[in-house]
Amino acid sequence: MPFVNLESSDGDLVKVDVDVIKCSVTINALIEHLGLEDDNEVVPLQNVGTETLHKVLAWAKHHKDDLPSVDDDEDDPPRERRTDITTWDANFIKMEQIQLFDLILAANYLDISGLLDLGCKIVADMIKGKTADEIRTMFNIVNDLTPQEQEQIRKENEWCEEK
Amino acid sequence: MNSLPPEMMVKVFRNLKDADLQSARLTCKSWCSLINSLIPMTVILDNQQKGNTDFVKSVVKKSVIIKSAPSHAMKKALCSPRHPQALKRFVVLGPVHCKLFVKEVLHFQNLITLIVGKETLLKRLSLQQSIYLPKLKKLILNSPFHGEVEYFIDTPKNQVSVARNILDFLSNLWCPEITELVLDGDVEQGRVEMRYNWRNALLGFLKKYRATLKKVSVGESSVLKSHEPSVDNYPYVTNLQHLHLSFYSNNHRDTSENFWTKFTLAQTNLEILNIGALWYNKSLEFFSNLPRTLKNLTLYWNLSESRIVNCAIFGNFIYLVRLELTFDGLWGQRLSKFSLLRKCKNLKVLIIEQLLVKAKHLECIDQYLPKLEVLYLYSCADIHDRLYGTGPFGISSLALTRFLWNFEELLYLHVCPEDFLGDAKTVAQMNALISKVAYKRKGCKGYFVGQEPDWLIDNSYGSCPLS
Repeated sequence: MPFVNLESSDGDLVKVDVDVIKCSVTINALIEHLGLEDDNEVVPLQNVGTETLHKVLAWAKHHKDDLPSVDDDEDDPPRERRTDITTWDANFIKMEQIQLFDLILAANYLDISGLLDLGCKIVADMIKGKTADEIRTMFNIVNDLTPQEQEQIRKENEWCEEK
Repeated sequence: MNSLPPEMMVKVFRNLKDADLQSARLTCKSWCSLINSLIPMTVILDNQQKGNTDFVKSVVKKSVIIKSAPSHAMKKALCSPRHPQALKRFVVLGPVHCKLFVKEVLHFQNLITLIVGKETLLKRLSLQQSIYLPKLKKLILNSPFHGEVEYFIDTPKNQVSVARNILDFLSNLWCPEITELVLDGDVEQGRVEMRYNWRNALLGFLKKYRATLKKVSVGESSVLKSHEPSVDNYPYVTNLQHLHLSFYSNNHRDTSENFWTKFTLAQTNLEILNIGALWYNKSLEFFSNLPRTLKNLTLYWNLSESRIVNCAIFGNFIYLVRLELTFDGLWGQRLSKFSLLRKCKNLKVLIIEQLLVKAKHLECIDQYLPKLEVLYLYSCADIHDRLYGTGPFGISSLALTRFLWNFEELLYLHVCPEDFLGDAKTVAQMNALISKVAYKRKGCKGYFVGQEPDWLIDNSYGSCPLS
């Protein structure tokens, strides 16, 4: 079984089964491009920390036998694309906000669409059912809208709600 | 939250429903504008039973198009632009409940383009209120009277009610920024009262917005039958730059006059004029009344009447940059007084289709038109020229090369295979030769026999320099 060595931004080396990491389009392309015959070859990942990398690999290992996901069609209405989150995924994704964001960024960098979708869904779930104030508190957002602007947005929202 | 870049936030937002998106819009500026960007700027409501949306695509190219579900989901579909303020373009095709349509359109305060399809204005409108669209720039009311949906409104009663609705709609519409009106329609076979309604709607609108309208495109509606009551008080359309008149019918020659003759177009800023099948006994008067500043002239006929061409009216327009002469249909009309083209010293684009051009004229075209960049000839060679090889394109590859060689400004030349004397092999050799000669010139697009390129079809080309 071929292996590849990934180097995290913290400088740690992790030996990974190529079969596990094949879900990453980025690494797949690198392997194909460089032709990593030699097991000692190292792929540096400047944007992924050790902790996050282990998380990513845990997810990839669990999902390595999944069927390759169909390409996302941007035209599809989002509701139809929603699939339920499995129990394993739900437990896996339980983590601090900052870790979650790091994981999403890593999934984006490594181009792992399944993990990226999962992360984005979890963030969306955090927003669901909350007021604007609650959202701002949760994500530490500074409100830079003037009262007039807020009023304008509310007006537009009203039009939608009465339907 | 600023640790997630916008493209990932977009992915997050796509998982949210409307109610949550509204809360999210209220959190901060960057989220608000990000969510607004996800909202479609263009909504196309396609309720047609058949027919295609090609014309719509040509109007709203390069924008997000949401195609709504047909038939039963109508009301839901109409409500689909969740943030009416954001909507810039709205297209309605097919039968829609008129009252609902008007009610919804009223919310689209920032609407820039409104396109209403053929069958939409069929049901009785009975407008009680005025429609105020302060930002509207472009209005297209497409004809219900021709095309693929004729079966739907073939009765005179239906035609009358559409004409009345258009009158109703146009007179109640308040759009101070309007610059473009397209009122297409062949009302030739309609009743007199209907044509009258139709024309009054158009006239009233032109009067109201004579200062802002820059582009007007109309079909048969502006032809006046001699037995109809005449309409007085023709307005100046002072800022008109682009006028497109198409008359495809052949029934009204000599007995009818065109109401555009009554406009004083001479004092307008008209730059682009497209005229199709203009038959009436005052056509010369019409042309002599046009402003000399005309830059872009397209004349097309579907019958073999060459009087206007023979009078070489284009000789009047010394500032012409683009001239297109097309005869679709009967073949064999000759473009006479070709030498009058010499007056159009600024001509950059010359397109001649299905109109015989004498070989000797083309031979000296580089002296006639020193600034010519594009020459497009389609089916212009005489059969005699083709058979005996006396035309400039028929003689030999050598003659053609010489022609191009002498004509240094020419950047694009199109000659159709029929006009070229030679087999496929000769054509291929010619193309290779031409690209060798031509591509040495900067900006050259020198095809010889090939597809008509997109930039040529767009008739705004010619007023802008080659890129």
